[in-house]
Amino acid sequence: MPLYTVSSKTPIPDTMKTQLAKLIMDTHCGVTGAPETFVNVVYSEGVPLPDGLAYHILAGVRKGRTGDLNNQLRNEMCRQVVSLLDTPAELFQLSMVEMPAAWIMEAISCPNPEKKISANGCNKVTTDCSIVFAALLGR
Amino acid sequence: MAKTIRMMCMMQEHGLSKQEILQLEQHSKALYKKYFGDAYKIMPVWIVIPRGQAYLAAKPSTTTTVTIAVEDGLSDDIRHAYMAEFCRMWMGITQCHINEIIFNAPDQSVSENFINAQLERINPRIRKFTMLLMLIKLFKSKLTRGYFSMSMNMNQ
Repeated sequence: MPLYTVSSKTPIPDTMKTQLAKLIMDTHCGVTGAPETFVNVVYSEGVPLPDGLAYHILAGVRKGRTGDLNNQLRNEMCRQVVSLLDTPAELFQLSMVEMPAAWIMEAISCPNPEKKISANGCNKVTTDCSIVFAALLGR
Repeated sequence: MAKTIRMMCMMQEHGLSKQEILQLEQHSKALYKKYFGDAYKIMPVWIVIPRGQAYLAAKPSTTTTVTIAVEDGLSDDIRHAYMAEFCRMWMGITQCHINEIIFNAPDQSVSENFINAQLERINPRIRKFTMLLMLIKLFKSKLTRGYFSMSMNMNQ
């Protein structure tokens, strides 16, 4: 996590996919302070999206951030993606689903924003869970 | 009657062999039974991501993401023990690097929310029809390949 699923009716050119993956990573990390290592972006093409939509992003993010920070992430992500895709804002929609970090095991670590929030509202990476999971994995 | 639990696996195209997939299914079912008993039946579904459509840290990804829901309110002690053993099992069979398996074990209600959010991106006028097509694809793959699978791209 985060896992961003980018859905489109028509294929997105390969070069654009790479640019968009980087943009999503940069925006997510810029707003939340999360490490780049964990940012997943996958593309789903040929999706029969609702009428009037050309692109949709489903963002699966960690639970525990403030509502303000999530709104900031949502707004900034929309602004950046619409700009890169050069598409009218009304053709794009972003949905967000939150999941507790403790329910996800990835690379034996799970930065948990519920536990460490820095003064500027951005979560700092912790190694609390990585130590637990490393021990569980016998590493 | 056993309750069906979906095991959603997002894998890279050609990332796993048929033998590995079937072995992973078998071991995943056994592991779930070991932790949570006979009251559940695991139904694995493999979502294949075509080459060039997955990125991790803005670089092409070789990661598989697996999600298996557990009962709401399961303690983190049991959840984490299950997750750790699942990852060990997965790495043992696939020989993948630890960075190449992401395992989610969410509460069932949260997992349902996530699946509903995925379905909501589909045009409501043809949502049921699209879901029917997906089911047909899944059963077709079960018959031809021996496991339920479909492409991440809905037009394939």
